[in-house]
Amino acid sequence: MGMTINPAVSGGRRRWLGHSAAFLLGAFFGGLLTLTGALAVVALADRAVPLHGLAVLGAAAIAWAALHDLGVPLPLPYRKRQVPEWLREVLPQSVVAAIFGGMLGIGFLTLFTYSTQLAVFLALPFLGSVPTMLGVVATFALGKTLVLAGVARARSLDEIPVYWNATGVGVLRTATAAVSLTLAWSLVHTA
Amino acid sequence: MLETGRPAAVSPARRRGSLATDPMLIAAGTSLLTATLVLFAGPKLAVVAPAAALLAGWSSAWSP
Repeated sequence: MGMTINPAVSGGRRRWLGHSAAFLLGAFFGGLLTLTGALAVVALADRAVPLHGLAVLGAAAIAWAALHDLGVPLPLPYRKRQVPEWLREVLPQSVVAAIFGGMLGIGFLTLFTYSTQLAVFLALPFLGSVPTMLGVVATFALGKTLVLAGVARARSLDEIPVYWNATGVGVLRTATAAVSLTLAWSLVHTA
Repeated sequence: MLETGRPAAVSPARRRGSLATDPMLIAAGTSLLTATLVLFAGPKLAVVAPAAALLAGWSSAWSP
């Protein structure tokens, strides 16, 4: 997203901050949509399976995705799509930022490659209070937006930082798997 | 793609980005934070979920 929302494309730091705020709001509302869907699914499923049973199923799914993070060749239905880049050519940058934020906030419309995203959305309905759920969705949206801090000093696209290397990928996959498994443990323990 | 500003002539250090926004360090830091929270508060969902949410939001942007 740093290639789309950065000071160079926005035309200055102030406008970039506005576009980042639009992205943050979009991501938050996208997350709220997924939260609503997750709550509805749990409310329906609760009629057939006790809540603790649903939590155990959720934890099992999280563990499956975490093993995938660690390189175990398990099938995982990630959606291999990206945001519609053509929108950048036809809509104002602020609207594009909000739409892209919304799509990424929903979480499952585009490719995501780590288990924590699935883990968080599976755990959301079991948090017990609406303010806590909203806080977690807001933190998720904030995490999405903090990525843009990496391009804060970019004055042209040539200055967008490149972080990737094999060590980075390994650390990220191990960290996400560890946090996801901890969340799965907490889910079974709490629900 | 729109492009404005000054092109090229970027030092390799700048191109690598700052440590403060390095995804590897953020991921490692968040997992350490999560472990610390669990150590002190126990495996409570309301404690672990926010840290996981931060990492979920952050990490999903870094697809190799």
